[in-house]
Amino acid sequence: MSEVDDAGPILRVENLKKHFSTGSGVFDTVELDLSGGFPLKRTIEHVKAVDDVSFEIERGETLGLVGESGCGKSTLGRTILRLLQPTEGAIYFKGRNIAELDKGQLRRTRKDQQMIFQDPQSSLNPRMKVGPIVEEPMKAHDLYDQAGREERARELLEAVGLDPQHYNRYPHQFSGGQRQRINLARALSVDPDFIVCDEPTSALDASIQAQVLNTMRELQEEFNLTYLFISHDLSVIRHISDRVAVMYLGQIVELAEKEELFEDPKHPYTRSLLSAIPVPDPSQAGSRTILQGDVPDPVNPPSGCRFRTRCPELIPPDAYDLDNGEWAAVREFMRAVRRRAFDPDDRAAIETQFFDGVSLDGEPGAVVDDAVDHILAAEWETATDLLTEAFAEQSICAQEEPAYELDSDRSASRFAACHLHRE
Amino acid sequence: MTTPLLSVENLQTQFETAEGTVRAVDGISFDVHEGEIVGLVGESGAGKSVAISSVLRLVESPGEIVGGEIRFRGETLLSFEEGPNGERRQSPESLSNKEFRQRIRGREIATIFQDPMESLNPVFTIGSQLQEFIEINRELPPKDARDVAIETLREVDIPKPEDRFDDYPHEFSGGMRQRVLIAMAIACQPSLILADEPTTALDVTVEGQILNLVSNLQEEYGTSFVWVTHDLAVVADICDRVNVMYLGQMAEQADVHDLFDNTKHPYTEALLQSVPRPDKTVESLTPIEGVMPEAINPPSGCRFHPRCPDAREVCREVNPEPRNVSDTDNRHNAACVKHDVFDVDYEHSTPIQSEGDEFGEDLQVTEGSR
Repeated sequence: MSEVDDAGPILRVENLKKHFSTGSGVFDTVELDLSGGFPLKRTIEHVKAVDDVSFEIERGETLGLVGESGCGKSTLGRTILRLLQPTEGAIYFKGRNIAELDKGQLRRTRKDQQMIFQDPQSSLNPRMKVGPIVEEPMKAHDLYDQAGREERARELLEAVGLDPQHYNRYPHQFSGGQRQRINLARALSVDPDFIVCDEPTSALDASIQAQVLNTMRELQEEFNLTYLFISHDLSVIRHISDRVAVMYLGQIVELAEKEELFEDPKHPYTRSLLSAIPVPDPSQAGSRTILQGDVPDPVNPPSGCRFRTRCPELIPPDAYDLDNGEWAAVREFMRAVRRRAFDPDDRAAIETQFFDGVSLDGEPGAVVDDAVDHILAAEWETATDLLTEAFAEQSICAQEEPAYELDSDRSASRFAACHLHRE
Repeated sequence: MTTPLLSVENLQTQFETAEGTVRAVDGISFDVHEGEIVGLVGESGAGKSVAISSVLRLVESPGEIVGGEIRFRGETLLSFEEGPNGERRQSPESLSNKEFRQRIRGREIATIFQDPMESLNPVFTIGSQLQEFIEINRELPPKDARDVAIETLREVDIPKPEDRFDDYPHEFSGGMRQRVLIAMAIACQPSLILADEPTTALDVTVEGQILNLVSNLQEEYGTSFVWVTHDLAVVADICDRVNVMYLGQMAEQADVHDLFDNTKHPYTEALLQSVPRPDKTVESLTPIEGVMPEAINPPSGCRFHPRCPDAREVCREVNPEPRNVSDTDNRHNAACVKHDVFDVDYEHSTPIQSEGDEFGEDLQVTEGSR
């Protein structure tokens, strides 16, 4: 194609959004509204699976995309290939916005983009032999004649470390690792430039995973491939990636060169992830710090920074003059109240449990006293609201969405979405 | 040495299938002492889960425990003797299934499974399931059982336990469901909890929360754990001693520090070399060659020899039992004849050439899908 741009990054994603509506039928979306006027109201809620994501992938590199389940990393991978229709935003593949292509044009770009899925079992048709499975994409794109396709299929089987003699075998005759190799061969058959790999080794045992990862690296060199490698496993990401993007609740919170990200993480979420994973070395046992709580609902993500509800480094509100000890005590108290994690006896007991050695005065002190009154009256919800409004909502983290470009020694720039980096 | 809390000796569990007998657990021995977290590690198909199910008597037909002895606090739970016709049968000392159910399982030995959704009944509320379990096992009236249930839920860090008591399992996240199972396991304050890959299906931050919770509970109550996992990092993090299994047999047994710093079995060594690490960048991984053979037709001699970098001719012939190869006072068992205590002239045996192709994975046709 003439309009192809060979100089820039192979993929540039700009402000990409993918929202799903939650209601599945007419009655699902109708609610009773007695506040006046017509008593029925139609509301459609949207799960913001991918919400305003921008990044680039350079030719020949591997970008690792890591995050916990439900953070939107698989949705992002699929939306980039337009297996899902983006809600908003642009996806420039070799300089061309594929978010705007029609079906026919899209079909032709598919030749350059392939995908490998997590489950090697269900992504292979059990009734087809391995050879024809590998030939299928070539057929779809009208490449070669039958003899040429067969020859290429055999070559590819060999390239991914299988025996070309197994052309006539069925998928069930192979082990999990070998099936993932068949998937690799199929993806490579149309000679793509870019492959999205969605947890390709998660279903494999440790010893087999290492074999497949090594093969993927060799193939990258041999076929000059660019990978977007999606995984929840930070060890695998560290092994395979050149740069790493960390996702939380539909957004990228940090993007940096691999060594920088792992050795000097700039976002509290990345730090929490890294300190949460156990390390295969007993001398480092017990050094974990643990992220508390659960991921919030992506239908109503928190305002400002989405990680703030769990962030161990939440910035104290500028309005109050709290030192670190005081702020820590307030946050611990706030969390315990929200979770009703204690049985209240009297004011003194609560104060020794949460504010031992800390004296709050001024407005913060008054708010906490007020909250304790409500708790003793068993009004937990009121106490929670009071504390949230007075403390959590006042932080800059709740009021502005963070996005900071930082200096980097190893690459052009790095990105961290955290207000700790404000000037 | 004091009597171990749990002692398993030469346990054998097999499955009769149309293709033949699968010896899923083939003569393993291990001990668990009071207050210890013991790891049981291996890849899929090593027989770790079957070993746990055997201790709990949860092996279902066509599986059957065919040999070995299991003792709990010195009391025989299961043993075998020779019958009049030379056949092996359960000895009369073994606890009957009814007694085992009433006295041991749930009360003394509890369990946590990998998939919390499958272990909870979807049509009953979380609270009612936990309360029923406490009513039956601790013989408490319903109201007291409810209070204990709420207190236990609070202890495993379920937010707003009074409100969540009436929720159904699907209203809980994966991590919270796993906490409920832990609550159920600790509700009767058992001396031993057998945990079968309890954090494998969870995210890293949730896994971290659960591992911390377990460490705290273990300190508070002194409960012993057997932790079944394929993840060496989890083992390094929480276990005191480790047992490494390969294809139904024990490969290595040692204190966690000895196992990682002074590895004595080539399989453990290879496993450690093949995993990528979160704390440092490894330029290239050294995979283990080939795939684990089917338990229905294990290799002759040492079961690891076809994939072993140190294999010699003698390894084809001798299938070693784990022996103490430690040079310190800490016991360190390894089932590898390259150690002198085995005395099979490994030194002068011819090395076996690797049979793997350039990518290492032997092509072998697996029968049926796994």
